[in-house]
Amino acid sequence: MFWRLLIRPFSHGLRTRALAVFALACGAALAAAMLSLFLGVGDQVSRELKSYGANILITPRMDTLPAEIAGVDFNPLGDRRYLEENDLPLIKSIFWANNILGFAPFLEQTGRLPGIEEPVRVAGTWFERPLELPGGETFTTGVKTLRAWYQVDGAWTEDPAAGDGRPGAMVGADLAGRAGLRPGSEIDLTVVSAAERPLRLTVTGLFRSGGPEDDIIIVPLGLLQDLTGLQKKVGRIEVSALTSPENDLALKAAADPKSLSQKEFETWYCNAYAGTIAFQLEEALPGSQARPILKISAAEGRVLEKTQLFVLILVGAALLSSGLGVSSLMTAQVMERSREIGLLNAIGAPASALVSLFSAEAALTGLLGGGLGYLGGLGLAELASRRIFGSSPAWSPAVIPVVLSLSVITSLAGSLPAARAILRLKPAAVLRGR
Amino acid sequence: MLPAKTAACLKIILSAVHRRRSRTAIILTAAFIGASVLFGLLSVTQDISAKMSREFRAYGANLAVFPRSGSNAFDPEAAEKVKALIPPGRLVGASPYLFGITRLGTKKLVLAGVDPTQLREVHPSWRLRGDWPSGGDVLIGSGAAERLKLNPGATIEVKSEDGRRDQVFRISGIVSTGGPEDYQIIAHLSEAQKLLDRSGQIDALYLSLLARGDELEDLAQGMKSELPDVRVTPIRQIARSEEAVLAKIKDLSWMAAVLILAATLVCVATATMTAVIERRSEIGLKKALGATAPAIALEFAGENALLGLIGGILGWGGGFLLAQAVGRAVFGSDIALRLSLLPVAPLVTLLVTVLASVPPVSLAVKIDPAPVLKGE
Repeated sequence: MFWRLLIRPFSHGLRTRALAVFALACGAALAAAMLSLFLGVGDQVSRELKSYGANILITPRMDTLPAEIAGVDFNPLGDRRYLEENDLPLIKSIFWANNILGFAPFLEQTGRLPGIEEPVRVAGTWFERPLELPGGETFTTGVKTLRAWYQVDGAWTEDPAAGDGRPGAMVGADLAGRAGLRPGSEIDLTVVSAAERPLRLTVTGLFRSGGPEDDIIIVPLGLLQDLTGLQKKVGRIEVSALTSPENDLALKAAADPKSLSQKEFETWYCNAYAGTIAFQLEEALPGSQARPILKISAAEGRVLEKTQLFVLILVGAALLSSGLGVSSLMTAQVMERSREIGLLNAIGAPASALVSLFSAEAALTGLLGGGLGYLGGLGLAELASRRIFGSSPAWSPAVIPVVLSLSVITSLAGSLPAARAILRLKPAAVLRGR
Repeated sequence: MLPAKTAACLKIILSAVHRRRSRTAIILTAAFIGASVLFGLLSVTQDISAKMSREFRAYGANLAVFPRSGSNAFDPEAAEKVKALIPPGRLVGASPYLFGITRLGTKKLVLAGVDPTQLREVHPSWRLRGDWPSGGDVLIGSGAAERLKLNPGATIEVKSEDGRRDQVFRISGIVSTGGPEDYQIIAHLSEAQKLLDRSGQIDALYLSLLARGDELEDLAQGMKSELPDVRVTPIRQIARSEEAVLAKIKDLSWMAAVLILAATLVCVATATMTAVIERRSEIGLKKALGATAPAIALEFAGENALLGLIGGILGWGGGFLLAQAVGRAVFGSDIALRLSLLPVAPLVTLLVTVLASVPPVSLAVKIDPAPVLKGE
């Protein structure tokens, strides 16, 4: 009997029931889409911020103090230390390797250009270098990914294969303006070194960064290493990593890592704070010292936190509004079946049986609507994420139970109070249509 | 006086509202929520650029002013002129910079001369152990402090590179930034000018402004044309990321608003549809008594439109409260009420409720009186 009564509205009052399922499905789709987007928004915004530069700097651990002004080191050459270029793939071997989005090594030296009076800064780096990782994957990195915001007039220089044609260079827009250079020009660059000899380079492109780099020349790393006699040496490495916003623990660790208890240390080590990733990089690279660039990582944390909070409120508003709307619809539908409830009550069905009948019906409707809505929500999230972030949303299995239970709760919250209210009335009054 | 026909229409709609309280309540609730969320989100979105801009100032300076290449320094008067060109309320902080090599014992160390009162505004991300400098105190970078075993409160004797001038400073605090400041002594500009023998000169002026994108570029352009002796560079790296993130946030809130209105639409449509299905016989009877299709359509659509309008107006209150809640929770400040947004919410909900009436009304119009009245 219970089952027949439960199934009946789905076969007979089909249109009304279908409407309830449809409304619930729409609400659930909205919930699923917003939740999926919310789960991904931290990573997405972080990636967006990451395309504007490195947030961790690795330098050699030195005995002397660096005395650098605008990239020129005033310490004697002999005192300087370097990192090994061959160690670079180790960066992708740390615990948070997947959070490393890109990195580029730099070696800097001053040089001279004919026609320019003051010395110019020359930086050797990787432009776009494929790296073979131990896992067999290839990871491509270099300034082209790390400095994606550069406006390039001409083309990016390519990392030369051994003994490959005339080496290229890129020149900062301000320097190029002063020296009268344009893409395709040739320059005779002399680098301060033991054996000073000018080298003819082709300018492949000019770049504008909107920073002090607009005054420098960038050349392939190997070229500058050969010119300065610093084979396989690197002066610093800039790393761009996805990090989580810092909390009290991260701040405590930043102030003094030794103040952490064993348990705190483990928690800290397993979170992708900028400080943690820097610590792990330092462990991985011999003779190195890694520090989060605070103005980038701290600002990122603040912006990320605010954005996530705002989107969380958006999700809350969306869930609440669709929930309230859908559950009031359910109430109306129960109200309109008051005669049926009154009749069942009048012919002797106990109130508890009626309440469980209506709960089961509401739950079934909720499950059906939630399931359909989840599928619709996947499509909606995909569409929205492609449109807003240009990539697919993060898919998380956790969304399924959340959406289904929200849908069932909404449905129950709408139907049950109404059914109870009708049961409290005298059947005679209900049947007379009051 | 209302024309008789309009008055009759209103009477039918009002009595319909009165008789079907539950449906009225749903549509009104749906319209109210839709309008509240829409109005709230619109208010927040209008204000969010300004509020996020504040957060982005944690990146530090977004405009740098240098002397024209060729000369090595410019005088502080030019710096004042630059500051005077900034529209009021946009300047978060500005500090001049003068750099030079000094000696601390046997070590070479960079001395930066700044305006210490501006450091906190221009560099909110700096982490400080100890106090911000006052009087003749200095800050020292954490890297240098660690190596030289210096603590806040210690005194240091800083000599010029040639050893001719020297000055004793008290260290008020140790600063860590992850940047070159970790290996610098940060002193008052006038002290640095004395020690480096470069009185009346600065190397750069860094400004942190509440401006981004084209606005920042325009400001820089304006300064360039006013002051030909200096080079003005917006730090685009930061300006760009600000633009990009704000665009994403706006897109997300638009999407949420559209989805919520879609939920309102579905809710109103299903509620009206339920009513039409439940009241088939009443509609059939009306038709049998001579009601035309437009009259029946008007009854449902008119009722919904009225409810949409009322819900939209009620939504002002809900939306205002929502906007304030978001402002407090996310940014810790209030959101301004924009009068220009007031008409938007009721108009949109009116449109949504009328649109939502289309499928139920087309069903109602198609009802054939004969079988319905027979009770089939």
